[in-house]
Amino acid sequence: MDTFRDNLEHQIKKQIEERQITPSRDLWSEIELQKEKPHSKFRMNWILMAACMVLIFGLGFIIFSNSSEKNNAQNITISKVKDTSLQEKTSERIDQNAISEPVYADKKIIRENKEASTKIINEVQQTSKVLAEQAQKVPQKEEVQLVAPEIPKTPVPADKVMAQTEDASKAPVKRKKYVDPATLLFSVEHKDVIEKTKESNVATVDLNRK
Amino acid sequence: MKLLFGNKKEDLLSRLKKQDPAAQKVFYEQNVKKFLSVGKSYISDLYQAEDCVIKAFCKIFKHIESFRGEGNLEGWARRIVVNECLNFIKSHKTVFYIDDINPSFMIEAPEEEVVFDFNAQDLLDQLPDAYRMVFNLYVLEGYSHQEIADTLKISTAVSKTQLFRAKEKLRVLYLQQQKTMKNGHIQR
Repeated sequence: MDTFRDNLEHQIKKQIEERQITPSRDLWSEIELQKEKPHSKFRMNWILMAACMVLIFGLGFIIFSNSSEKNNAQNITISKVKDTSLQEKTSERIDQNAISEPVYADKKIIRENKEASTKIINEVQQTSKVLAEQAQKVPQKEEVQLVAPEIPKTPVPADKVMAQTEDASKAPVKRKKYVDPATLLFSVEHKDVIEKTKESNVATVDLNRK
Repeated sequence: MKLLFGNKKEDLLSRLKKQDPAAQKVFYEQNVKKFLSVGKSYISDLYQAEDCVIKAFCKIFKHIESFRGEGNLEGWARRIVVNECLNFIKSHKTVFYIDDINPSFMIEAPEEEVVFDFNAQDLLDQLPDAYRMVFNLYVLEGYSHQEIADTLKISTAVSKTQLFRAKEKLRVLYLQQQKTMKNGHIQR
């Protein structure tokens, strides 16, 4: 039994080892293709990496350029405000100097004027700085005004008013004049007797009069 | 080609280590038929066996640097082919290792002289995957039961039972094949 099995094993081993099977298709071309695959993947990874880098740098450049443009615009507005304020101030001062200058102005007077003008320019520069700061603050206020415009008041009928504030209750209301019916009757009955004065509301009644 | 490389394996190995395509082609042509035969003994489908051989050749060329030159290059490459086939079977098929020994196999059959006119591949193709793997590793590759247990991640006892059952199955299959062959001769 064992010898039979051993013989069978031996024969199977012999047949398999001696056998050679020719491939049914071109295996070499497929091996070459599979050898090239890792390289192509590697290249693809590099291309992807490069594309990602370009995207990141592009986005960064766009964001940076936008922020720098905003800064430039702010600087331009500030400088414009400075220039206009300086021009206005200097022109005013120069006009004043021109008017105050006497016809017989000497060189000394001119020097004094120059010194004075330099002082004025310095003052103007300081004021321009203050103005620039104000100019930075002003647009914010304008924005606030734009954001919350005034709501027009619409007249609400008294029946539909559900609640009122104290200010609304303080609104001027015409006081009703109440007349005592006895005095009214009296005044009508004794119309002739009552004498009214023109300036005062006080009436004098002469009851003994007939 | 033989003149070009002087028919020296050392020269071929050094050229393979340099990833020389011509040397790779020579190595492929020398071994593809043998390796395909090895692959076919594990996987019955020729197309799938060819796929495994392709993968094995790619691995051989890629990891040729790890070959230290201690043993035979063909033996090292053959081991890669075998491992590739085993990985294919593990990943594409569910293998059942039945541990118990069926008493029906233990019935002694009459001693018959082995007729050497039989197809070994037909017998191997009819074996279940678990039997075939263990039988091939033990008989064709010369692995010990411990090595089989390590490569297939089974116990040595399971390896032994699988081999026993494989041999018994082969014997039964061989007898059946002989019967059909005899009947065929009689009919002619």
